[in-house]
Amino acid sequence: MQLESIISPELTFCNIEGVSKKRLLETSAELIASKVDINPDEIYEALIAREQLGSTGLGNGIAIPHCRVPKCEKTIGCLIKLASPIDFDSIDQKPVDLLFFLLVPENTIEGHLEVLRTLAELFKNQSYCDNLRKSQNDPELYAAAMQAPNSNKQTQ
Amino acid sequence: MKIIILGANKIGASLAENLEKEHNDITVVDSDSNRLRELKDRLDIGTTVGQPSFPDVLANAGAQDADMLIAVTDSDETNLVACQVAFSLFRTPKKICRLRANSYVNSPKLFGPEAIPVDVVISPEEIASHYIKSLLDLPGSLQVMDFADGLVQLVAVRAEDGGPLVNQEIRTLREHMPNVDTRVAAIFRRNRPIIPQGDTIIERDDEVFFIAAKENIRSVMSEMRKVDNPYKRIIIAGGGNIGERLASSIEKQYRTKLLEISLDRCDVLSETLNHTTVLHADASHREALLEEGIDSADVFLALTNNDEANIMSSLLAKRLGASRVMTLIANPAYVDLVQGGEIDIAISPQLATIGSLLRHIRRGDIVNVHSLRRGAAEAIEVIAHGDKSTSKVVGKAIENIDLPPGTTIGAIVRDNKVLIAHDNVIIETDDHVILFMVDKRKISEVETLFQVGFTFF
Repeated sequence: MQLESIISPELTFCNIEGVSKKRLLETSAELIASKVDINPDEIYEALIAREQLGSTGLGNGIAIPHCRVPKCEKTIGCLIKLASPIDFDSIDQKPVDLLFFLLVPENTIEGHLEVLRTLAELFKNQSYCDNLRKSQNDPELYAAAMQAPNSNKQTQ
Repeated sequence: MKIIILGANKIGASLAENLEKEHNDITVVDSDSNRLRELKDRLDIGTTVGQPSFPDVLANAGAQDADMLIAVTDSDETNLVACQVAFSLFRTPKKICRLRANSYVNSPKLFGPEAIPVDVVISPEEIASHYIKSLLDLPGSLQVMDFADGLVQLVAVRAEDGGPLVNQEIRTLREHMPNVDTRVAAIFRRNRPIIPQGDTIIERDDEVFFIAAKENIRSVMSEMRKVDNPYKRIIIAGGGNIGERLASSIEKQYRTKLLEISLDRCDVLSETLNHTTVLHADASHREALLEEGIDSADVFLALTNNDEANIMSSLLAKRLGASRVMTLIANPAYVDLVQGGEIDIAISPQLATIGSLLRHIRRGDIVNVHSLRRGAAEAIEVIAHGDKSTSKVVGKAIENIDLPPGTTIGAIVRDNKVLIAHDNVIIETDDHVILFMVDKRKISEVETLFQVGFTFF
């Protein structure tokens, strides 16, 4: 999988104020909706419904919220770094500051699972995450995100 | 979870207390600052003073970050408006609204994203009267809980001499009733829980919780105690909301008398209740009770909104010959005091309501929660989602599921069929799994078990 296919500069946001899990899901739904032609409420509700079944907080400050969205035509990714970490009900109970949102069309079957696994693998890399956390603005964050460590590409 | 509770009344206070214990971030809103202060003195919660439906008050209470709003003030209209405000201004994911007026409750089209945005309507009076009705319909039961729309029931019963299973190993149940499948989920012996095995012997006075398909409940019950005859004559003391609802739901089935102390209220009740004998009388008067035939009553129910009055009239009714007495008690401390003495069953409307609210607070796809043993134990119905790779339960035989101690799977409902949980039953996707926890502190482990893995889409 090519990172370029799911990360784009306009959907990379640095130093967003999270405040709470609920508010962050609301904010990010609006951020995503402002760039793609989907109603923010639909994104928000789908994200909330998925979190209800189990948190997408992976631990170590990382979360990959994902859901199916009815009017979504292709996989949409959105990278967000928070100004300060928030509680996200993660497995390790640690607050979250790096989030990768993944929206897929309603009826996709398998392909997105690979994307999800690749992302999970990518965010396990400590130095990759450190670089993301050091970013001060959107372009820096995007550049850091594109610097995927090679080892991960091989494991996939 | 961040939860805003509107209303520091009895129900709001008991909710705050129960939810706070489970490490939620609670803010209670009420216009009465004295009530809030009293609550804040004993609980670790936030409070906001003000009219609970006002946008600025809700904003001050933190509505922008709240995962849930529970509107339980005494005013239906305040509750409804608050839900609308929460939806329109704060996009609160879950809005629960307490309603008392039947006229609202009976108009389901009123609620939904295009109408009044209420996700869940709760009516504590309705819950309490349903709770009591199921006790009346199953004579001898201490608590009856429905799962999967009533296909499966969990019943608490006290084992008594005369039940064929008493002093026998549980496994002999199969020999006694080869065609009936059931599972004993837990036994409380002198208030201590026992997780039953096949060779556990049921003793007299054990409080037995068993689960079975609804049609088999009576046969299983007859194993634990002599069969009680169906009730016929019911006397209700107190024609408030609960008394009225209960009377109207049972009056065609039982000979029902209702004693009400206020003459005006009697007039209203005799208009709405067609088959109930409504009497203007005081249930604390010995003569009044005798006159209405308390000595031949199968059940006396004390349902006024005064705990002390309920307890005293129940004791009196029992003394005068009522076969069974059931008493509505709001103060949880009293529930422990009176149950099991002369009062056969103490009913706590708050506790019954908490269960239906907990369902929405638990993580995972939980369809039903029933609080048991005054809130210490819990029975839940949860839907198993995902597949072998994303779920810790799907595709596994029950014996291989790593359940926390004190937890048993009682039954599974698959495509509307009831499967009693035996060790070799394999859980499938979309199964409704009914679990019993003798200690509800284990709930978070159960939640984790049923949550889908990260890769679930």
